[in-house]
Amino acid sequence: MSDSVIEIENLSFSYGAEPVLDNISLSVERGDILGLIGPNGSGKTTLLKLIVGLLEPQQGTIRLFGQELGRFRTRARIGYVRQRSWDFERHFPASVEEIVRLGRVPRLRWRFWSRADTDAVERAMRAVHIAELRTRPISALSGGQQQRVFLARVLAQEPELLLLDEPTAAVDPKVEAEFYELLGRLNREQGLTIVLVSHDLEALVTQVTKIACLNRKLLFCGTPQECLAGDLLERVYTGKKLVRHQHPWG
Amino acid sequence: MFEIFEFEFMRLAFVGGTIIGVLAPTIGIFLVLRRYGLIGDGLGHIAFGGVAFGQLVRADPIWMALGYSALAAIGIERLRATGRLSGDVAIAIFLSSGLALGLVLARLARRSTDQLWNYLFGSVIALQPRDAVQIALIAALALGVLFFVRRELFFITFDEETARASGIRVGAYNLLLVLLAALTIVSAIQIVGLLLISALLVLPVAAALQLARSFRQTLTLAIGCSVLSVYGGLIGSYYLDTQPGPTIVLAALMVFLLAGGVRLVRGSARRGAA
Repeated sequence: MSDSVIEIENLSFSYGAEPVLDNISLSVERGDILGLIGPNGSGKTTLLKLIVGLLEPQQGTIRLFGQELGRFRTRARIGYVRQRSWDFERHFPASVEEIVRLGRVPRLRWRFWSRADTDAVERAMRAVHIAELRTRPISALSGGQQQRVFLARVLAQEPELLLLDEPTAAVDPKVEAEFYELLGRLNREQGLTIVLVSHDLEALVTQVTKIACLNRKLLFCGTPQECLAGDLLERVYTGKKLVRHQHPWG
Repeated sequence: MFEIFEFEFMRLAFVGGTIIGVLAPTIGIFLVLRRYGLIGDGLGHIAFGGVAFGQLVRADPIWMALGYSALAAIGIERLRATGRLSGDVAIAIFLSSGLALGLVLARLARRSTDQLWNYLFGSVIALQPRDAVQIALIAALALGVLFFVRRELFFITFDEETARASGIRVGAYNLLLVLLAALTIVSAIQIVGLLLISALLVLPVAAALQLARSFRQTLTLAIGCSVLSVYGGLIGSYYLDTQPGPTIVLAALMVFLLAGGVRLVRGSARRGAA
C-alpha cells in the first residue's frame, strides 16, 4: 500500500476565466515537511483550499490517505490553519482555552467531551507555551500570541497532516524560530506530515524536507538543496534576492 | 409589592418570561456575533403575516406564525448562502413584505385592531396555563437542539472557513440557527410581541459583550441581563399600565446602558491604577 498522504494528479483550477492552477501533479509522503513557495497569486493558497475541500477541483484528482477527496470523510485527520487566521472579529468574546478547545470539535462528532479531550487541549497549549494565557481574551493578545493559539487549536485536533498557510506572517523572528523548531519536533516525534506555505524562503529552505515551487504550474519539486542549486528562485521571483521577508507588523 | 403575583396571568407571564429570557440571548449570541442581528426583526414581521393569515382562515395564529417564519428563515438563508443577495437585503425584503402581507390579511380578516396590537407588542392579560406550556415546549426543543450543536455553532461563528475545512457542514448549521431564531420569536409572541422580540435577541448580548472576557461569560451575563430585563419590564408594565413588550425592551435598554457605564468606570479605574 502506498504511503502517500497527498496525491495530486493533473489538477487544474480557475476562478472564472482566470486559470490559477494548471495541470499540477504532486505527492506528499508520510513524514514529509513540504514547503510550498511561489510569488503572490501563484496559486499556493488555492492549492491548500483544494486539498482541505474548501474548493472543488475542476480537473484532475486529489487523494488523501489513499482515498479520493470526494469520498474522504475523516477530515479530523487534517489540521488546517488558514491565511490571516488572526483576522477575526476584533472584539470576539472568546478566551484562549475556548479557542484551543475548538480543535477537538471535529473529533467529537456526537459524543460527549471526555478526559482525553481535556488532556489533548492541555498538551497543545503547553507545546506552544500558552497555558498561562488560557483565561485571557483572544482579542487582547499580540499577533504572535494569537498565532500560537491557532497552532495550539490545530494541535489539539491531533491531526496526521498539518496544512499551514503563511503561519509565521504575524510573528517576530524569535517566535518564528521557536515555531519551526516545534514543527520539526512534532514531525520527528509524532511523524506528523506538514505542508507549509510561506514567503520566508530563508527560514523555509532550512526547515523543510521538500520544496515545491508553484507559479500556476508546478515549476519544481525536490529537496531544498536542489532548489537552491539552480537559478530557479531568481527566475520565479523575477530577480528578487533571497532575503528574510520584512513584515510591516513584525 | 407582591400583589403582582396574586394574578394568575402575571404568574404565568413570569414563568413564560423567564423561559424566553433564557432562550432569546442563547440564540441571540450567535446571531449578534455573526452580524445577523436584524434577522429577528425580519422573522418577527413575517410571523405577523402568519398571525393575520391564521385569523383569516380561522387557524391557530401561533402555528401559522411558526410556519411563515420558518419558511422565511429558509428563504433568507438560501438567498444569503447562494450569494445572490447580501444578508441585510434578504432580511429587508422579507421584513417589509411580511408586514405588508400581515396588514392586508388583517384587514381582510376584519378582526379588531386591539388583537393585532397584542400580537405585535405583547399582552399578558389573556395568558392561559396552556400558553405557558406551549412556550416551555418550544423553548425546550430549541434549547435541547442548541445544547447538542453549541460547539459547532461556536466554531462556525468564530471562523467559518476553518470550520468548513474541518468537515463541519456549515450550511446545515446556518439553516438550523435561523430556524431556531424563528422558533424563539414565535414563542415570545404573547409576552414580548413580534415586533420587539428582536431587541431581546440583541440588547442583552450587546450588554454582556461590554463586560465579558470569554464566550461562556458572555452567554451567562447575557442570560442574566435578559431575565433581569424581562422581570423589570413585567413589573414596570403592571404598575405603569403599559404593554409588556415595549416596557421589557426599555428595561433591556437600561441594562445595556448600565453595562456601558460599568465598562467605562472599570476602564478608567484600570487606567488610574496603571
